[in-house]
Formats: sequence, structure tokens, C-alpha cells
Amino acid sequence: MVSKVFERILRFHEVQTLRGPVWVPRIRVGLIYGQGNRIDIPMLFDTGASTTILRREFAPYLGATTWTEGEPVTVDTAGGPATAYRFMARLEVPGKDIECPVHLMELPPNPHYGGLLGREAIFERFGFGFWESTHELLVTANP
Amino acid sequence: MVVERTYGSFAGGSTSKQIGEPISAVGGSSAWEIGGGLERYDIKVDTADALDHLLQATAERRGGCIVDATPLLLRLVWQETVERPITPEIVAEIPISELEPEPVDDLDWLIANMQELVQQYAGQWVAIAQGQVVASASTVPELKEVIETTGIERPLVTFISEQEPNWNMAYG
Repeated sequence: MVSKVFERILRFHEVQTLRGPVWVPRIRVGLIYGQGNRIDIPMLFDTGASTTILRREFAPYLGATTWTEGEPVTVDTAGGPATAYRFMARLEVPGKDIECPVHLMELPPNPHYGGLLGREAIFERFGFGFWESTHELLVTANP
Repeated sequence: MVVERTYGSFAGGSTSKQIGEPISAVGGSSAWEIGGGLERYDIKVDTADALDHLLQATAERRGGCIVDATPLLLRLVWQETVERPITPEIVAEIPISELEPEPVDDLDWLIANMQELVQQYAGQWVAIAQGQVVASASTVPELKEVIETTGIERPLVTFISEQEPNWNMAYG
């Protein structure tokens, strides 16, 4: 019998879409910049995103004037390939301060999220469990 | 009455909301205000050391296991000195939710108030803290400047679009 212990529970949030209500795992992620200043960004926990994505407008918080100052990369999206620009960022993902790559790109307008929390350099630091019936994401910082 | 230093969780915070009704009569945005509240009920706290002593003594009588929970300690100080001494059995009956109310979750607040936000801030970037919009601007650089010059700590930042939320990217 395998037993896993999770210290945190992140609740999914119900949102209305054109196809009806959907439960999305939203998470508040800290973006640390400058001399330890920080803002929080609402993000979607996205197991399908290989790298974390932020709206291109957040470039000033990564020390850039425009998003195109990053390294150009091509990423696959639901709408086909798109260009993103790669930067390094310091994120706080629940309770952990992580240096990781982020891709800045154009995202559909939606005030519910400012980016997608992806796998690279982040997921390996945590253990996750989905409890779909109760709309909960279980998290351990000690995998 | 002089209390010479503040206690971290109260400095600049909206204490009366965080620590619940029973303690709110002695709540405040700093230990100085809390001390003032205690004084109104003839509880003599002349120095920060005296307040420390009062808190510590209360914690020890409760088993010494709650020394870090300042709002809880103040509540117990209140109950012991203003209301009446309470027994450990009564403490055990106090629901945790009453002792340590959760702070406002700005993500929940964002969802609950989306309609009003769209009406008021459509097309703008907003900074939200403790369940209210604390800054807004039409661009991120402008908002960043406002946040930094006003010293707003750790706001939730998002763009309030004029269009209906689009979930085609990843979900929906």
C-alpha cells in the first residue's frame, strides 16, 4: 500500500465558459523582482505546459522593456505553433522560491489568469495529486 | 500608557478584521492602539515588557503551546482580564475558525467581484490587496510605478479585459 502525504490543498475555482461551467486549478504565484519586491499573479496550474508562461505585458517585471528582448522560441498551443520569448524569473510557488525559465507570449484576454504554471524547473520540486471529485489539488513541498 | 514597540502581525494591518469580534474592542493597527484598548478597561500595560509578560504568562497558563499566535494570545488576554478567567475546557470549545479567521483570499475576491471590476476597470491593469483594488493603470509599467511609489506590498496583479474571458487556450 503506497501512502503519500500532502501538506497543502489548493481549491479549484468554478468559472463560466461558453461551453458551460468548468473547474480550473488556479494558483497565486509570486513574481520576485528588483531588490526582493514581489507581486502575485493568478495562474493556472497546467500539467500540459512544458514551461511556465506569462502574459507578454509582464516584461517590465523581468527587467525588460519589451517581451521581444528574450530568446525567441516556438511553442505549441491549442491554436498551433506560436512565438514566445524566454526569460529567467524568480517565482514563489507555494512557499518555495524558484529560479526558473518563463516564456512571455500573447495570451487570450482573461482576467482570471496571467499565466500558466508549467513543468520545467518547478514540478520536480513538488508532489501533486488531483482530487477531481472535490475539485482539489493536493500539494507537497517534500516529494 | 506607553507601549514602545509594535508586534509584527499588527503593524499596519487591519487587525480588527483579522482577529475577530471578541478581541476587536482591544484591536488596532499597532500594539500602541491595542494597549490603548486595554487601558480603557483598566488593564495596566505600561511598557512593551509588561505586555510581553502578560502575553507570556497567559500562554504559560494555557500550556505554553501558543506563544507564536499573537492574535490568539491577545484574545486570551482579553478573556482572562476583561471577560473572565476561562478554563482549558472552554478554550477547547472555541472553534479554530473563530480564533484565527482566514485573511481575505484575493483570488476568491477577484472571481466574486468580476462583474463590478469589469464595469469599473475594463481595459486596465489592477493591483488587488486584501479584497480591494489598491491601484489601477492602463499599462503594466504605469501600474508598476504606482505600486512601487506607494509601497503596496505583494498585490495580486491582473488585466481586466473588456471582452468576455477566453478559455480556449488551455481549459474549457
